[in-house]
Amino acid sequence: MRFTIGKRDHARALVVLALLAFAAPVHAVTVGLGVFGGESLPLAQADNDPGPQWGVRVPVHALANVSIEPFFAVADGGRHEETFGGRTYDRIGFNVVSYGAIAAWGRMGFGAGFPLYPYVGLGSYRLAREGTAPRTEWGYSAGVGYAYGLPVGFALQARSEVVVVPTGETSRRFVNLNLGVQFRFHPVP
Amino acid sequence: MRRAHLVWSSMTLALLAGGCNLSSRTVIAEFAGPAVMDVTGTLAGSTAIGRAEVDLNQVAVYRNTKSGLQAVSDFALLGSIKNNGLTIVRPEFYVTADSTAFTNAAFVRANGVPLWGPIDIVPGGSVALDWNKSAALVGPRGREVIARETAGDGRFTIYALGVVTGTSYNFTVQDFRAVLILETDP
Repeated sequence: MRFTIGKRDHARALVVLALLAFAAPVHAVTVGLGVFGGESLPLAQADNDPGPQWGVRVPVHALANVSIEPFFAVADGGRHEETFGGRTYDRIGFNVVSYGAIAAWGRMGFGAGFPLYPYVGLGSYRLAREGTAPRTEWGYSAGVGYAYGLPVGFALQARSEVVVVPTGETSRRFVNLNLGVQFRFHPVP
Repeated sequence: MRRAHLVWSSMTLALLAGGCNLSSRTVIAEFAGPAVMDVTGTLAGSTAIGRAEVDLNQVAVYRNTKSGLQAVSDFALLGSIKNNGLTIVRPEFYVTADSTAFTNAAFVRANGVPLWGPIDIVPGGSVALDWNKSAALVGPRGREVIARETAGDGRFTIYALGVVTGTSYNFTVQDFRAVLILETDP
């Protein structure tokens, strides 16, 4: 897997960081670290099949009802098979490397609270595969997560989300389903 | 609380900004060319060239999506190429906009643009073209012509040519296919 980060990506990262700055701590901050894995399902894409997805997250609970979570994720689209003229061919799926942040309405497993949380996200998505010029675009996401608290600061996470990556006049869209585990560090005073 | 509203407003606006692209989809259009194209030549020039006159209007997927066509995201040539000669052959493909009927390689090279290749095939060897590698062998100028003609009348002509690596070349292109991945917004 290869990916590069260009000037535009840095600009995007700055915007995301600026967004995070809006969520600067009002009270104590709780920070965690999570890993996740699951399946990325392309929507309305005849040339891209479902494939695995994994990533890391850094949930930050700083406001009463909102948690912010920077993420880094990689998804590898599955090979799509087609038969042309009696021969079977396959086209490799997109490798999607993304980073950004989500804002969730809830505590995301940090302490007691309703376990379901809706969220929206914004990030940089790089789509690449052999034979297609790679492109990096802003992407948007919305989803619902479920957090199940475990002893000593651990929590299980289950999420489903829709991701939209505009590509000019069209877009590449995905449904991501994943499970993860996160560890809560001691609250930052 | 004001900060929370700012975060939510920013994210919601971002989602709405992307919402105009929610109905698009990608489809695969396949054009079947000649079952067999024999390509031969010597140091003096080509003696036979391969020619596939592509009319995408004959392809149902293209006809059904043309009104909403936004882009050609991917293009590849498929099939197999067999070297019938005693030296390495170096097949390459050119494209001309619209329908043309050139009969020798010099005219094609003078009037068309490089589309694909070249690759080397050893004497007696046969190569089944791989979709991924074939897509990577499409040149930028050829890709431009394909994109322009696909958005236009859907007609262009693809030629198979040889490059002399010894004294002559002789190869056969079989089950030729031009495969396009189209981005469309119905």
